Amino acid sequence: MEAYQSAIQIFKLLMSQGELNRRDNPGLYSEYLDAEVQEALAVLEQEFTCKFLHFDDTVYLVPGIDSEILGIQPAELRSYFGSNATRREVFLGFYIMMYIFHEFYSGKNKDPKKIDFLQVSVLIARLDERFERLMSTSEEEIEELEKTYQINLSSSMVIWSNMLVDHETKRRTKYNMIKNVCKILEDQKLAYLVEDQIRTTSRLDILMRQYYLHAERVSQINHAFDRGEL
Amino acid sequence: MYEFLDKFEKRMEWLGAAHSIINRKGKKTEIEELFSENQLTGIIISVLLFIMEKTLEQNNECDMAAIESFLSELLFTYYTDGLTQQQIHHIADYIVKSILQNNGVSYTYPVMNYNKNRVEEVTIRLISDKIVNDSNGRKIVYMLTNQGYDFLFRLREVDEEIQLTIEQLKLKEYIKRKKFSSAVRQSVELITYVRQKKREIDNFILSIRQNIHSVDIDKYEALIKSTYSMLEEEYETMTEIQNMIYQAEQRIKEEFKENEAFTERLQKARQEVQEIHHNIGVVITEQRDLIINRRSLTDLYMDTIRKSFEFSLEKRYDFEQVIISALESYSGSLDNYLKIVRSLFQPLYSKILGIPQIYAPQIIIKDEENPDALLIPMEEFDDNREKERIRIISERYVQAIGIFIREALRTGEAALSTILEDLKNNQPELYEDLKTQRTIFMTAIKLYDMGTLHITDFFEKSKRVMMTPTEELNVEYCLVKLQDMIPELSHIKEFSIEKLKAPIHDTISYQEGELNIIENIEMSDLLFRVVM
Repeated sequence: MEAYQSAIQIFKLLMSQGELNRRDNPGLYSEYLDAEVQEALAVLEQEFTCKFLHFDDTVYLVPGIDSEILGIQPAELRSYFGSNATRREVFLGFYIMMYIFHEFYSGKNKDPKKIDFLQVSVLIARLDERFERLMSTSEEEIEELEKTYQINLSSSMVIWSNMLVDHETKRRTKYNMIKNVCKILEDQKLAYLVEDQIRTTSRLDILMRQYYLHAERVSQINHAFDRGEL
Repeated sequence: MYEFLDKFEKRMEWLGAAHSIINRKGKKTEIEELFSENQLTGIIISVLLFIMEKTLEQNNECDMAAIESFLSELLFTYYTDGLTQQQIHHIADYIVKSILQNNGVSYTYPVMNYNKNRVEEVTIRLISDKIVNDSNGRKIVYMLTNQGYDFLFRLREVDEEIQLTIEQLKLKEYIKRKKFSSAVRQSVELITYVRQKKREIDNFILSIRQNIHSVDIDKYEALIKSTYSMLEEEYETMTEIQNMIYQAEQRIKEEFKENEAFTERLQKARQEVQEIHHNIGVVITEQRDLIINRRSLTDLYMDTIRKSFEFSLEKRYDFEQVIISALESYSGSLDNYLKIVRSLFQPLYSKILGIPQIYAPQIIIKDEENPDALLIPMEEFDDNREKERIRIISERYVQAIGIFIREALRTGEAALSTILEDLKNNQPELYEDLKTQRTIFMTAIKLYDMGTLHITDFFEKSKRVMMTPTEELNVEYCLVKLQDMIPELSHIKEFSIEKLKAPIHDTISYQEGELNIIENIEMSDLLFRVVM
């Protein structure tokens, strides 16, 4: 019974703070290491479709991709981009977010993290280059897809290419778009902007190295993309 | 293998560091062109030396502002005085981020290892950085890496470890010969060297924490063995020197009593000995700190190595292929793709445990009530509809500015509160329309932000204006549109806005789906004034 009580306490803390570490909560942390508590937590893991990751004296609660109870819902995530944001803007913002992850963690060495920081100007140039390439090579293909599904990849790229890099008074600029994405990442304790550089937090580094990039997750990710089809 | 080629890779590492500076990757021609050949190389080394100097000073952090200010002074005094602050900012940025940090990407230099008969990629990283939080928020501070120190010391052709011992010997000799002034200088040098060692350890701990894979096991062992054994020896030598200082102090005291005629000289000697005494104390304390820290560094290294194995052996998928390309060719119109980020985001519990959820994000409730909302409405992709929406917004800006100017022209000056009251009473429909998305209030605030508009100047200069309606306020567009509606417009020299003390209160009400929303507006009243 005590083990269950400890497990619930740990779960409660993880739900509110996302992580539990030895420095701030030595008592609960040592209880986490107890075998019976681990058993109880395994039940919670299964029932709530989540995972407890233990690394570097810290325990993280990671919602599963299909976790409807603990994971952020698409509509909630969409609202992050502002209530007036169109779906094309949400798509563009989300693409930029994933592209930032790609820039940081697509290393082929033992450690996937390949850069220490990403300058906003470099990110803008990379996105410009990528979109230009995509637009020129797959215009026909995208148009065809748009006709069928009304998807908005090309429209998102048009939004991007029509934006100024930066402007004193204009709000809709490439720089501000990236700033908004970084704001979301900062709220989620994943990355932040400092002196026009994007830096990742150790939380993101650990989640990426320990879990997110694991080959076993490919099928889940593919599934999420597939289910988007009409 | 030839014996003289032993540890060839170590020699080449030094060349790699030089190569990273001399044959800079990612050259920016607009900055390179500002200097004659090889001039910038000298400037980069000067910046490196500055970073070293700053990092060796206790409690001093080298941030971008400090580098910029140093560079500004250096360029102005020794190179060229024709650069603007903006250019200096770009140069500093280029030197630190693009060259010394290689835009955050690891810089490697291929080196032949004759022992292993293979080419190895040696990582070159002369400076590292860390984020510090101060009262102004986050900032980045830069410091030299061990490799950076090594490189700079080799440039002076002095091996730091020999140098430290030489400095100690020199100090001993000075004290023996009662050359206290030189000994003071020597003791200060010793503090510098030991602090540098301390920085090396700090840097090493930082690199272990940041990325264990960037840490070379040989370097770790060399650092542990050489630094600590050397420090332990030095710790003993320094205690010896401290005893010598005590004795010197005693002798001076005795001499002081016996020989009052040389008071001034002795007084100086006594002060200097006290200063040496203090400096040696600092060196010993810092050395002791380092020796005590030895265990924690070893623990940290071993622990991190052990943990790194846990993940480094796992198979990883190709991020570009699985996520980026999938997003690029995503053909679904539902939002399911957004779920792929779930595992990285914080767990969201408010929906199940929190009452505020009921009130806060209406958007969620709408989506849950009506799953069809997840389908993309066709009109969102209709260009004409989008253009029409922007035209209406743009037209509101023109109308709002037109009203402000007309009212100010009529009476010389007009308060926003009076304008709103008039509109409300005489043109209620227009009043409600201009309040949509807070247009009239936001336009007034933006005009206040812009300061005085010099309208005559604007028309006289016949500046080319893009006549496309925009979602954002474009004052130039509005003025050109208003030219035909307000004949006196081009004669207005100045149109200015002042803030008044009294506040304005207003409300905006509108419907969103089945929801009635009321927004309360509270802002300072503004006064519009024209000068003809």
